[in-house]
Order: sequence, then C-alpha cells, then structure tokens
Amino acid sequence: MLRTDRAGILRADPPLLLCTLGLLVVGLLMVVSATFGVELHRGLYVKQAVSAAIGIVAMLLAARVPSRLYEAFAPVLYAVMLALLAVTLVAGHVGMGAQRWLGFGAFKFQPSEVAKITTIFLLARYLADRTRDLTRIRSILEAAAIVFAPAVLVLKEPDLGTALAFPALAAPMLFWAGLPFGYFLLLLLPMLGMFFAYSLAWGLFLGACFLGVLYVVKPRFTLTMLLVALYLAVAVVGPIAWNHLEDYQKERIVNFVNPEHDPMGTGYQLLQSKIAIGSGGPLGRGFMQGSQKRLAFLPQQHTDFIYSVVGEELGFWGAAGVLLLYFLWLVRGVSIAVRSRNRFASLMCIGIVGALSYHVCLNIWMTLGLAPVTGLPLPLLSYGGSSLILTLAEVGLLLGAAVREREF
Amino acid sequence: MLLGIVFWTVLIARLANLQIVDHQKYLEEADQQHWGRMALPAERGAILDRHHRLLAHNITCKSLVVRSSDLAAAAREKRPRLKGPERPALPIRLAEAYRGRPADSLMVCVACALAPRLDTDTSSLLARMRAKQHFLYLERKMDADRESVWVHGGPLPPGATLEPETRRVRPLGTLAAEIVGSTDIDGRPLGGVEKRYDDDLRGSSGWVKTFRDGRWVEHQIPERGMRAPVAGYTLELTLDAASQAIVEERLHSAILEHHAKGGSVVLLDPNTGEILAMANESVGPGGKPEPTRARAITDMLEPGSTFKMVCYAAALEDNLITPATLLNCEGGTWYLGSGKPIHDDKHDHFTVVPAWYALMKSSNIGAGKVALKLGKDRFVDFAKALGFGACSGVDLPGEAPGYLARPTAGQDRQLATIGFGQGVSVTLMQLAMAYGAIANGGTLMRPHLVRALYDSRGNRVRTFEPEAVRRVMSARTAATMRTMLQAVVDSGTASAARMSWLPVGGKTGTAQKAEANRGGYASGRYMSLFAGFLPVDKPQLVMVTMIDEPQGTHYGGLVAAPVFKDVMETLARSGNGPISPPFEVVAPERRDAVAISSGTVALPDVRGEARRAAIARLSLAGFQVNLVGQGDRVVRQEPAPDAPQRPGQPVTLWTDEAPRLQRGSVPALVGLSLREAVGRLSEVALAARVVGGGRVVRQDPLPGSPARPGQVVTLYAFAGQ
Repeated sequence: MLRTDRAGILRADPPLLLCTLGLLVVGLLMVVSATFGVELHRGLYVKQAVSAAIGIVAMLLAARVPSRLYEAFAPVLYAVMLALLAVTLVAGHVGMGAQRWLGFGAFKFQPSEVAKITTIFLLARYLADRTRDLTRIRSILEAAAIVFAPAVLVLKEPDLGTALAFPALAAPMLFWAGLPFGYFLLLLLPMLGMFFAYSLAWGLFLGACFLGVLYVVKPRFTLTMLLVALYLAVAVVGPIAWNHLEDYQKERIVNFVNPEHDPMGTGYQLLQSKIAIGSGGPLGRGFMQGSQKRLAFLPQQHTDFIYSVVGEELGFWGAAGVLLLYFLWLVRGVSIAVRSRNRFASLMCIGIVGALSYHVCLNIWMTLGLAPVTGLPLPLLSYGGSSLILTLAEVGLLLGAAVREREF
Repeated sequence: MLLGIVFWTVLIARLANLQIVDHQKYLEEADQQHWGRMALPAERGAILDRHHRLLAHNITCKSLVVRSSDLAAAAREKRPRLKGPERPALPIRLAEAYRGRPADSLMVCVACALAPRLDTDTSSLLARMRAKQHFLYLERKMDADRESVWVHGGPLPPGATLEPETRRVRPLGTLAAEIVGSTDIDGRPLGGVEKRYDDDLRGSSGWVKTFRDGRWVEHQIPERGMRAPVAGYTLELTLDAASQAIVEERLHSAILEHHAKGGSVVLLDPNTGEILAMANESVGPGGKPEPTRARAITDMLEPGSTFKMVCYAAALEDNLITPATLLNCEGGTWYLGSGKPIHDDKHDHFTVVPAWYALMKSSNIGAGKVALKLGKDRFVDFAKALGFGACSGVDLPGEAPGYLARPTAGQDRQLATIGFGQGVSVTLMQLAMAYGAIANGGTLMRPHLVRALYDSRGNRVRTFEPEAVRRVMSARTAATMRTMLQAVVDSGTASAARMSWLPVGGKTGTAQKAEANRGGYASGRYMSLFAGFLPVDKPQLVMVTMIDEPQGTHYGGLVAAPVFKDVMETLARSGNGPISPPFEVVAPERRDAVAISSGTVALPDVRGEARRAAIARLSLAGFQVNLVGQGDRVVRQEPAPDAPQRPGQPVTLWTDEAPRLQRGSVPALVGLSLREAVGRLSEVALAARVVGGGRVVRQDPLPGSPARPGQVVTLYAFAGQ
C-alpha cells in the first residue's frame, strides 16, 4: 500500500487536516506571544516552528506506512520503548524536578511521549485478535500488564500526569474491543473507590454499586475474587497510600481543592491562570497584549499554561473557538475509527483519540481551575518539541487509517 | 461520544463563567496585582552650625542584601560561561556553577561565598538566610571602607546585591555629638536636636504608583500618579563649631589634668540666649571616655557658692543692702539654731566686713546673713524669678527642672544654707542663664540652640528670635552685681580667671557631692564650679564650667576658673568670637596662617595633633574641615601642609582609625565654588550633579569614599549667608 500518494493523504480527511493546521497556527502565535520579551525564552518560537516542520514531515511519513507494518513491529517497538524509559530513569536529564528527558547531544526528547504510541500499537494488536475472550481473567491481566508496565516507569520519573494517560487511553480501547459495559464499570469502580474511600457515605455508596454491578454481570469466580480483592485493597490501602504520596503531589491536590490557601505556591499557578483567563473577558486583551502574560505572572505560560494565554489574549470567543477546533479534531478521529474496517487500525485510532482527549481535557481543566496541576502539555498548542512532533505523527496515523479505511 | 459532548459543555460553561460572568472580578484582581504604591522617603534635613559648617547630613551608602526572589531567579538561569581576565574568585565560581540548580543548593553556595567576607561562619549565615523568607540585610549602611571592600573585592555571588540607602553622618565626628544627637539605622532620631526638631528635619515622604510584574519587581510609573517627597528643613544652630571644638578641647584637658570623673561647660551669648558651645564629658572606670549625655541640662547639682549672687542681687534690688553694708561674719563660726555651727572656709575668720568683701571672699556666713535679711519668701521668689527650680526651656530633650523648696517658717538655718548654695539643686544651664541675666542688665533669657530653618533650596523659612522670659532686676542692680563679681575675679577667690586686658566678672563654687544612697554629703567628693562673664561693662559671653570630682585640689577657683580663662583667651586671639584683645596678637592658630601673598594663607600642619585641637585650629584659620574616621589623632591631611591655600578651602583630615584609601577616591569639595568643584571632579574622571547654587556646602559621597570612574558625585550648593 506504499502507493498511496501524498495527495491521497491530504484528501483523506480534510476537516481533520484543517483542524490540525488551525491549531498548529494558533499554537505558534501563542508561543510567540508568550515568549515575547522574556530574555530566558528568546527565540523559542523558532525552535517551535522547526519542530512543527519536522512534525509535518513525521505526519506524512506516518500516514504512508501501512498499519500492518505497525501491527507487525508493535512488540519490538514496545520492548525498545520500555528499554528507553528505563534508561531515562537512570541517565535522563532533570528538569522541573523530574527526570523526563533523554538527550543525544543538542537533541532532547521525552520517551514517555513515544511510549504512548507504542503502547497503543501493542494493545491494539493484542485486542485486535477476535478469538480473545476479554472477560477472561487472563486477558484482563495481560492487557493490564501491557498498559501498566510503561505507566509505572513514567510514574517513577515522576510524571503523574503522563502516567495516568496510559489507563486513560486503554479504557476506550477496551470498550471499543468489545469489553461488556458491566465489566468496564467493574474495572472503573475500584479507581473511583480510590478517590471516594475517604468519605464513609461515598465509600459505602460505591461499595453498594460495585456489589450491584457484580450481581448483574456475574463474572467468573476467579475474576470476581480478584476484583473484590482489588476493590478492598484500594479502599483500604488508599488512605495509607495517601500518606506515601510525594509532598508536591499532596500539595497539588490540596491546592486544587482550595487554591487561595497558598497564593505563592502551587495554588498560585491556578489562581494566576484563572485571573489571566478571567481578565481576558469576552473579547480578550488582543494578541500580544495580555498583561498577566506579559509580566510573567503566569508560570510556564508557554508550555502547560498556554491556554491561559489564549484565554487572556483572545477572550471567550477565541478560547471557545479553540475548544471547538479540538472537539471537531477528536470527533474526526472517532469517525475514522468507525469507518476503518481494519480492526487494528480502528483500535489504534480510538487509542490515539483517547490519549489526545485525555491531554486536551485535563490540560484545559487544569488551566480553568477544574483539575489539579498535573504538568501535561496541551497538544499542538504548548511549546515542546517531543509533544508537538509526536502529536502530528499521531495525526498522521489517523490520516493513514483514513486513506486505507476500506482495507481489511 | 456522549461523554465527549458532556466534557466539552462543561469546559465551555466554565470558560463562560470565568470570562463573561466573573470577568470584572478577575480584571480587578489583575489590576490589584499590578498596581501598588511605593513610598518615596523624604531626605532628612542637614544640621549646620551658625557659620554653616556641617554637623550632620545624609550621604548615600550601600547595604548588602539577599533576596529570595533573586536567588530563585538565579536558580532558574542558565550558567554563564566565565573565562579570561573576568574570571572571578573560586567561591563565586562555585556559586555561579550552582545557577540553574535548586534554590537551596544555590543558597548554600552563596552563604559559603559570603561568610568569610562577612567574618561569620557559614552555618549561622545559612540559618539566617533560611529564616528570612524574602529579604535579608547582611550588612547595613556600610561606611566608605566596607563599601570599597565590597565594591572592589570582586563580584558578588548570585542573589546578593548592594542596594543604595542613605546614612546619617556627622562630618565633624563626635563634636557636639550629644547636642546634635543621632539617628538609629532606620533614621529615627535618638536624642539631641535630631529628636527635638524631628518634625522639621524629617520632611514628609511621598509615594509613586508602581507596576509590579510576575517576578514581583516593581516598576515606578509616575505618570499614573505620585506625590513627590518634601525634604526636611535644614537647621542652623546657634552653636559655633570652632568655639565648640575649643571648649571641648579645654574641658578635656582640664579633666585629664585633675583626674576628674567628668565635666561640663556652657558658653552662651547673654544678650540673646544663644548657646555658642556646650561641652559635656564623662569618664568611666579605668579612664575610658563614656558616651555622654547633655549633662549641662540633664544633671542636677548643688550650685555651692555660685548661688550666693542670688541673695546678694535680691537684697540689692530691694535696697536691703548696698555693697558697703557691713555684715557680721562671726569670726568664721556661726551658731544658728541647733546643730553644728556654720563655718566659713577653714582659712577665713572674718569679723565685720562690707558686703562686697564677703562676696569676694565667698563667706558662707555673710551670704547666710543676707538671706535672713530677705526672708524666705522674697528670697525664694527671687531665685525662682532667676529661673531656678524650673526648666529653662532650652530646645533639647531631657531637661531637668532642678530643685528649690521654700524653707519652712522659722527654719532660719535652712534659709541661710540655701543662701550659700546648699540644699538646692540646679542645672548648669539654669546657672548660666541666671548669670546671663546679671550680664545683660537684668533680663532672664530663654536659652536656645536653633537660629533658623532653611528649606532644601536654601530659603530661610523660619527664624528663631531671642526670647526674654522676664525682667528679674533693674539694670542698676545688675551693674552693681557685675562690679562686685569683677572684684571676685580681680582680687578674690577667682583670680585664676583674671585676664590682663579685659575685665572679667564671675563667681567660683565648690560643692560637696551628695551621697548617692544615704543622705548627707560624701566626704572628699566635690564638684568644682565657675560661672563668669566678660567684658564686665557690656558682657558678650557667659561661660559656666563644672568639673566633676577633681582629685587633689578641688576649689572652683583653682580647677574651674582656669578653664574659663583658657577658653576666653583662645577665642579672643582667634578673632572668631565677639571679643578681641586691644592689641595685635599673633595667635598660635594664626601663626601658620600669616598671609604669604595676598588672598592666600599657609595651611597649618595638624598631623599628629588631637582630633579636636586640629578641627579647632583649622576652623579658626578659616578652612573647612572634612573628617574621615573617628580616631583621636590626625595621621594625614590633604592638601599637604604649608602649601598656600585660599581661606575657605576644604581640608580633609584622616584620623588614625580612618579607612585606608582605596584606589580611586572622591576628593573633598566642600567650601569650593561650584565651578571649582566641578573642575576638580572632572580632573579625576568623576561626574557632578549639582543641587542649588553658590558654594558647595555638602557632597555625597564623602571625601575619601571609593569611586569608580564616571561615578556621579552630588554637590549641594548653598547661597545662604
């Protein structure tokens, strides 16, 4: 299928391509604005533009490679990626209090970004096997191993936000692969239990839900035992685990609940982000005019908090427009997954959409003060080479799937 | 799909809530973060003597500061590459190497780099840096010496900066220190004129709107509103620095000569109440000088025989006696009432003598008899009219009122002892004003220290006129008293104060000191006093001297009176004061200053001399003195001695504790015309900023301060006088 020409790729899904390019342009402009006049960040937008160019090339390349090849090489790619993650932990570059970068000379990248794609490949290949019975405990454990092996390594960096991306992309893939909704709930409830076990009433309510679902679904005995054990472990161990959280993680969660309690600490970022967006108003202060941004009140304004700059400078209509672009972008991804006849390609598309939605949602929630500060980039908008190139490559995978949507 | 729509709806709703519903609130919050006010401190006024010599003023100086925000910023920065000749010392390089590391590691390195230069150990410095969250002064308001150490001693580690502040300095060192007073490190007054006239000196601070950025750096935006600070008024004192130096010097040598515990001198103009000089000294255990207070107004002492003039003046005013009235002095021992008899001095056994003679010989019995003639009410009323028992109203804080009780009826003995100055306590200032009333023809004046206030442009905004409290006696009585007191100097107990060419009047006193803990007098502990004025026919100066616990001889006539004569002769020969001798003198101070050619005089050589003596000598020769350091001996002077100089030229003296001169220092410019001063600055590659017009009265930084090429020196010129 290497005959698919460039024009075919460009015509495969024009709305997806237009949304991508639109977000890319908005992102570049926002990085220019956010880094303008800050000595430390001088010339970063040039690096970002170069990354964008590389990313577009990567996108076209990724689209040309047939998905069968990805399927075939998934285990090898996955193993290499695990090794890279391990090397990062040992010899990576430190930045912002975590060891996330791997460098070759002047070139640095985050292996955790690549890890998401390879995990999607392997999980898609695993789930694409129609003979597999997903309600069997063995299948569930194997799928969990594929997802959690890289997640744990990323968590060790530590990078909680990216680590949570792995279960986030796995959940829709499992659902798409035909895991019954009841099972899906049974797997979800222990995670909810982790957050709600601190309130007795909520804990009891969730426990009751769990038992109810268990009664309706009636899974195999061993799986039932495993799920009950998991649930109890999480609900009982949860409070103990809390005490073992890193201080900065606890602090972030506490600050999320009440950002005003420490305006110069972590909550400061949330508060500043809210002030920047709120002071933008309906029409915004205008491109390059954001004063919160200009005076560097916003921390990490060109990376994780780029959406605050959008909010402050472009106002409600601009920010909502960007949201709409993201929505269309992701909807197009789902539609490609629906259209794709190849089960692997379809699952891959769902995984990619899941990972991107997780990033977009959590980042914007965080910027708007609806979620804790997790340190996630906003795809296509945030400054950062690895994220930008990999995101564009993922779009390339979607486009490739779209071109070949009729192939089995 | 459904889930996605729900998520997006929530996001849009939240966005609308933030940007449309709560827009105003966040806009205000943003404004509140941006706009602030910064106080602009007003410059404190200077303090000048009556000839506009500087006694206290402000100079800019540096404080070493560590800000946590700067540390954090350095921790975010990338390491600069340092190579070649600009490569700093190792500790700085170490700290620089820690740029870009976590802030706490950087702090450790900064502490390591700074601790040796601050003479402290690293751990305690680190503890201080950790305890202070935002801002820490490591060294506050350093002098020129320390400043040059920091300025020339290599670069500072990241996070540490030298911040400009202003420091209050007294160019003449401790001269009149207790009168001028001082300020604490934050500029609040601690005593003296600084405290009394704080309202005038302080000025009013202004403010400016500031714009704050995300690193909490404030930018001043005066266009958005400001109020300029109003500088404090400059004070012109009645003090004369040259007279003050002479008085302090003579008092100091008298205290040394008599191994005394301290002393005090007040020199004033009796016609106006202007205090020309006021010297105070205390010597602690082991002969060490103690920081002194204005003892002349804060300490109460028994006046002894100097008080006798009160009853004589009262009796003359009431025509109860004339100078020739005979008084029975009982042969030196007077049994009055019960208890021990009243004695005259053990050498004196007068029988019946005229009143002037009894005063001349300082007979206790004679004074007691006059007091009894007056009666207790008239005597005490007169003493109170002369200002005893109440504050003199001098414009210095901490004045004591003295103690003067009305004797109980029928207690003749008590009345008599008050007559010769026992059982009453006064301040030296009260005594000076009482003698001033006799000297000026009978009016009690209010003593004062401040003549005028000037605003920062040199315009006189307020003048303090002489203030008469009340007329106490007739001019005729005052004249009679002056004649009688002249006799005391000419042929009585105060002959040591006699001057060959000018009639002097005065009265000695020797008071036993009261025992501190139990009542009664301490044996062998005296205060020697002398109050005098001159010339007798029309007095221009009154001076009261007290020497505390002289060892050996303790008679006021032998201890305190010579100080009077010394001071007056030096003043007269200097041609500086209101009195001058009727013959041509070449005073030692002027000997050096004989004109070499028209308009120039030779600069005296004061190297090796005591600081105070050097100031006095140079001031009297007409030079402006700038003092560097607070040592006691002059080790260096600039310009070099014996070079012909114009009078009014600035002369810089380095005392033995003065800082060593570092490369590049600011020249002395006070006293020069602006044109000359700017010329001199350009010779040494410094820039000038001029405030005002006329002659330079102040410069900032001080002479001898370290200077970088191109540094700006501010010249304050004054057209007054």
